[in-house]
Amino acid sequence: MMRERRGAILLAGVCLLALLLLVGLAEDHLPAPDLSLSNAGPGALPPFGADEKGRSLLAYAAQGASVAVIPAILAGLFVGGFGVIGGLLRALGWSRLDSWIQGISEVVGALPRMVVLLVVALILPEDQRGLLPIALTWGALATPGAMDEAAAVAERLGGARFVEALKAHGYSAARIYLYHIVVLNLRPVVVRQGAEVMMQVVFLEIAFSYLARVESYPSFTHPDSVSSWADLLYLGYPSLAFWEGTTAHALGLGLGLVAFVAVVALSTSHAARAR
Amino acid sequence: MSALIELRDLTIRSPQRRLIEGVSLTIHGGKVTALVGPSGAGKSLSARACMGVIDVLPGLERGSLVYPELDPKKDWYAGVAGGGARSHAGLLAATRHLRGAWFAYSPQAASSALNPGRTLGRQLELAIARRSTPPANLGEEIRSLLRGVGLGPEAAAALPGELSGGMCQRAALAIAIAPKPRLVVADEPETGLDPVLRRAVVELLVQTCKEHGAGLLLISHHSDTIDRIADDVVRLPAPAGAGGDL
Amino acid sequence: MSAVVAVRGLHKTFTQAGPWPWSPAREIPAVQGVDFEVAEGEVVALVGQSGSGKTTVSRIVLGLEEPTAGEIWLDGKRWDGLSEAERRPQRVRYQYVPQDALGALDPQQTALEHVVETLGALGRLPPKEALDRGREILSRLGLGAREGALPREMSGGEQRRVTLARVLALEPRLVVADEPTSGLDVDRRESVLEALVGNLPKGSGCILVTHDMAEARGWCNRVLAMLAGRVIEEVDLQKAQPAHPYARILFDPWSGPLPRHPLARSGCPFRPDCPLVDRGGLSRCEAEVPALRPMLTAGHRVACHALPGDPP
Repeated sequence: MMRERRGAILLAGVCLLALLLLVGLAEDHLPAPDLSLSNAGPGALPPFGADEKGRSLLAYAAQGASVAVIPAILAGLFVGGFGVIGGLLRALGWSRLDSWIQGISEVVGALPRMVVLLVVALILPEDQRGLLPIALTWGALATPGAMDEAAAVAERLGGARFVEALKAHGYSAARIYLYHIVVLNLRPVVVRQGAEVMMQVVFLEIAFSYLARVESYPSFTHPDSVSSWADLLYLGYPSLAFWEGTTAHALGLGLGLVAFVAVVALSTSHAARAR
Repeated sequence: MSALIELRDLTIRSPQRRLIEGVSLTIHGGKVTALVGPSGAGKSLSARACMGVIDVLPGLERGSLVYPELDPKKDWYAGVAGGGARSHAGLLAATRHLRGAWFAYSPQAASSALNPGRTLGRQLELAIARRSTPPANLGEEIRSLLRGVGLGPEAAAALPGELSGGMCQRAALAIAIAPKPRLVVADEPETGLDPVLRRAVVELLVQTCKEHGAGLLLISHHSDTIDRIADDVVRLPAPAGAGGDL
Repeated sequence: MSAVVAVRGLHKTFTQAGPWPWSPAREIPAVQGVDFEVAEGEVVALVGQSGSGKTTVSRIVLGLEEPTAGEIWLDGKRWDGLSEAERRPQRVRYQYVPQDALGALDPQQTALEHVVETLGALGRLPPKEALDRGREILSRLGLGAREGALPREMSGGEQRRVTLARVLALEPRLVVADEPTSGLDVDRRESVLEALVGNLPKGSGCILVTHDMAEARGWCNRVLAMLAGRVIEEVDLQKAQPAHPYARILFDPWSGPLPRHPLARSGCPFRPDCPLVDRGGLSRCEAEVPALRPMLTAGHRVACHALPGDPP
């Protein structure tokens, strides 16, 4: 793939992500529901119009974004960061520390992920509920895999021999570790891992919301007693309903959000791919 | 004494071009045949083809392969040419019982041919087990094989990962000659070894083969070796039409 | 005329930990007293079998290992004992070509990118000039058509020549090449050595580590043969033939009987296999490690009790 085209895709992916982030952050700044604008079209209340309560439909997108996107990004960065650490440790050749971390990694990696996640979701006190702790737990459980993969990449590079040859050449430690190892070689692996985790966190949000809805359980991921965004979206889109039923709405809009994040994640990961 | 291998007019092609063309050789027991030629000429390919291993497709275009000592009338390449993957796999399967017992193969980059999960001693044991008559004293036999390639008895307990590249190469050679094969095919066994070790390894190969009347097909670049030990030299021409990197 | 490299009294002992935490560590003497110089424009070969110490010497010269004792002088300035931070700015001038070419290349960079990065970061050239110079060097080494190739797409010889390009682009004062032709086919070896020696800047020195004496003969001004951590012969192969019995075997492994015994730990290490032992006086070969003594031809020195030569 041409370098320029890759750069463009990467930029597009990052911009979409930034947009999502902004939308999520903007939630509190949107106008309050105004009954006089009930069912107004996009002309009166850009960009999507309002529902029958006069609430801007953008608020719903913002709600979804604010709930899912920030934890997803943080979890992705968390995993990516640990991937970089795993790769660097292998390249530095600090074998003692490396084997300690590998040991811990193996224990963590052996834990059954969904069980741990459900346990965390259930034991979180009401006021601490949110997607973020769940997302970070998921991220933590994914770090062993990311670190292993990054370490394997560092190993294939030649490990200490590679570093020594570049050092003998006269390159600074920063150039060797930060540019060659992290940016050129670990980046593809780490970005892909981060993107995968991001998508997985969004899926988790859908799954937990659906579970709570179906089991008539208070939401796992929302601290307020007002129900999950699945409910909210249902309340907000009766005028757009093509199907009846909460499930359909939740699924439809959930899939929309997933698709959006997936496009962002895949395009970023694809553009950051190794040669 | 009948020949061990009679190869006539071997021609193998890849999708782009003919890799080797019209190669013929005869190997007798107790004699050393050297296969020489520039890089890319197809030496390794020819050597493996002698053992029924053709791993390129479309592969065999024409040629005949007879092992007179085993069966003077059977042409093992019959029906393989133009048969695609299936016939080549069939050839591989038909000659399987010969490899590791009647033939021994020591490949290039021999260290990667060793089983990383087994100790050298165990790998030698398994190779020795393919002999037609078991040795009187297995332990002593293993030690003597190791000694022959310049490795000490402690190497028997070592895993390939614990040995240096040169040691692995020699170990692979020891494993190749362990089953007392009728023909040893050694693909550049001297690579990466210093001059003294090179001579030791080549002398061991030749000595082992002559002692048991086995044949040796040796691929080598070193003219001093070839001048000294080869009874017969088969020269492959430079690859036709290949750009050939320098 | 100052020497590019001067090595004096080099010793290096490696310590290997014992199998148990309380076992005493084993001391492995790798280099046991080596002195030599490389003059401007000279290509010196360090030959010897595996374990002779030649690789260790070459690594110490560049500061990749620290000596246990001895001095390294590069261009008249003391090199051993400097910290890595002090050395780094000088490394541009004293370059290393490692044995493992593929392991020294970044799998994510093309051949051209490797050289351009070197010229930009170390050669301090602006990007446009670095690109032009990079192209020029690659084509000089026969890699013009392979500019955009990644290391995994290249053959062994090409990978080797990319590492050479990177090193030669800096026009260094000293190049230390560790077995640059190892693993290459015979016809490729010539082109790699030609690429290296043929493109050395005028007045630069080169140390070529190899175990192939014939290669050394073709490309080097002087050969230093090492055995068991010591230099046992120093000779210009254009002017004289190797005289030391071991060096002769390195030169032509089929001349004379094959050495079969492990090296001796006291006195002359080659003693167990040496055909000249009787001439030197067995007691002397047993007791005393021979020192390098000049032979008839100027510049030819041999460490052997049995050979005629002037006392040191």
